[in-house]
Amino acid sequence: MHDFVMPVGPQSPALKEPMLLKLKLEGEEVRSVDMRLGYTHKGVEGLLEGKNVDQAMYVASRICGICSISHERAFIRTVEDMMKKEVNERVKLIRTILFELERISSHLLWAGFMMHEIGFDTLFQYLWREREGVLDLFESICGNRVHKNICKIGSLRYDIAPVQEREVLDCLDSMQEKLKDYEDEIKKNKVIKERLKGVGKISKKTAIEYGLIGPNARASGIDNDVRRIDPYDSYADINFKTIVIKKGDAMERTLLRMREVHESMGIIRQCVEMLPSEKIPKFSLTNIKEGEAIGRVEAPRGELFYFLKVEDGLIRRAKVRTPTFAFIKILEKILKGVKIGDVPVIVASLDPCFSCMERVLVAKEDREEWMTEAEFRRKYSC
Amino acid sequence: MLSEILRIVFFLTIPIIAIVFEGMHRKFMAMFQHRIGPPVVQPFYDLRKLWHKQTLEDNNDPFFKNAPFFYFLSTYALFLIIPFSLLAFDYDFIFLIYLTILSSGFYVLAGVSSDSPFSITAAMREMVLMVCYEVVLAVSVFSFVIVSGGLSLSSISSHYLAFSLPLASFALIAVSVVELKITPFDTAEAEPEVLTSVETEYSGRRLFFMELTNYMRRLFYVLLVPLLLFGLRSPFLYVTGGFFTLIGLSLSQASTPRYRVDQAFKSLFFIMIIALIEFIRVLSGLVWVF
Repeated sequence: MHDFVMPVGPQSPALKEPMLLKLKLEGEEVRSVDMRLGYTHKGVEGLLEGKNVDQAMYVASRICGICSISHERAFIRTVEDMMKKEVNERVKLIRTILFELERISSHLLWAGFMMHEIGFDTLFQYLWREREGVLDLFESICGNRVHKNICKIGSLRYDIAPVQEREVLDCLDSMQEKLKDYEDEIKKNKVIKERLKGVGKISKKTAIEYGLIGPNARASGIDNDVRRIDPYDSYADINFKTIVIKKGDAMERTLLRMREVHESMGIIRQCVEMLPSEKIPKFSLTNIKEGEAIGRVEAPRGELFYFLKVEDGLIRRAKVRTPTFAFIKILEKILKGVKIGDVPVIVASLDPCFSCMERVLVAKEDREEWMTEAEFRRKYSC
Repeated sequence: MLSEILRIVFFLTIPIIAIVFEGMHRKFMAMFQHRIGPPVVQPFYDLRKLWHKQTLEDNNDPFFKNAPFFYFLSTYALFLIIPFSLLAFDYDFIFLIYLTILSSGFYVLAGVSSDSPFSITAAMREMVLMVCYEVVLAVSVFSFVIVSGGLSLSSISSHYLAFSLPLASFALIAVSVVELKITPFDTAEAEPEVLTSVETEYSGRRLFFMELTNYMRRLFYVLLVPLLLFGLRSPFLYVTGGFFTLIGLSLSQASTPRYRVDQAFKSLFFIMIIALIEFIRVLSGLVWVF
């Protein structure tokens, strides 16, 4: 058989963001995997440092294009904890609505992408067509489709008008039936079943060893959901299920995310019903001199963690741990021994998001290099 | 004499017809996917651009350099027989089978002689599938020819054989999906896995010939399937059959995901058994011709 190294990436149709997987092949089978990251390292933490809280929030919301509200929300949760600030009920509910709309948008984007990976472009187009409705809602409520920038410390930039409440409910109603059809298609289509069932299996033990979080962990039987473990916004007052499945293959991860979309719809409907008539408070600039806090939220891909330290009104240290950073290493394990045709499916099934996760670059081969922060900054001029 | 001239004109305009059919295929795909889609003449624009593009290749292998032209020529030669026989001779169906294998062979050669691991993997996959689908095609065509009672494909023209040979018809349609690399059997052209398959390393005019030949292969099957199923006795039925074949191929591509290569091989093996059963039925004379 022919043995060679096949590079998947940094630019490849199998990956929507840059990453290099060097696959050593024996015929169609992958023998070993060498993973390289760091193509989109932006030095975001460095950008956050030296800014005051109001300025830094704009940077935080731009860390990721898909889960922009999650980053905004995690940042604001950390700052509000630091300030011990209470927010009113309406603000909490609107934040929850937007947060769940973002989860729907992210999961549909991912599901479409997954279908494209297995060559089912029609379902990919249909799923993204449904996602357009959610993006239109964002445009109506926040003024932007991608980087929403709606959250403020203790408040929101815009309130939701009664017309927009109806728009949200109408959008969910029109989407629900179609999504059920698409879910049925995924469950019943013979070829999809053959492509996804039993592929990229992650056992509960492996998931714990590699510290999996979010939907990937829940598909392997680990009940891990920050919305339930450490509730924020209105999650403590709302009835919702954390969906946990045990099999942990690509099919289960796909179905789990589709079911989470329906769960998110339920959460949004409850929130819209519960919206009180009070007004949202006016926002003002944040006056914070000293403080240190951590905050976390359940982003569409899992737990998103923030640490902020403020000194003299400026952020002295910021640490952002994005969900992909927590689980990307498992690729090296689960790609070994699979067929080359399954590689894009497995990579996609984990739903990685590279550009928001890249933190530190270790560029040396076969040689470890230890540097202090100052040395690192000097060397890579960041 | 007039019909001879018309046939020659038809033969010469095959590449143009193929490009229009490709445009229609894209339009149908867009229709199924709720998109507007590119204009029907888009493949013309694509090919015109490729024709004027610079050729950038870092491979001096003569097989690599010449495979696209032979792939083009061997595929063009198929239209000497289908749908009108310009070269009337007995046993032309064997010549047809020979040419389809030759055409696929040059496609594989183009991939194997390339340096890219993507092209080589795609060529290997195509080779694995070729083992099955060429046999199915040969067996199906033999079944049709034997039942029609003649020695050449022109003898089929006067029969409706779709209902006499349902299993062979099914196998023929299935094999056209495989040959054209349409989902669920487009493993050799799986974009996320092998990029643009054997064409990865090609550029400029060589890529032009590869693309044009792919369009011509699509046209070939669109013409072959209704010819074997409905014959040429009724031109209306033939044209309608061709039209529905094109829609059917587009529908197959729009409604199914892609098999992995081992799964595709298993499914093809099943199709091969169906074709063989029909062939045995034909040999034992248990076929009623309409």
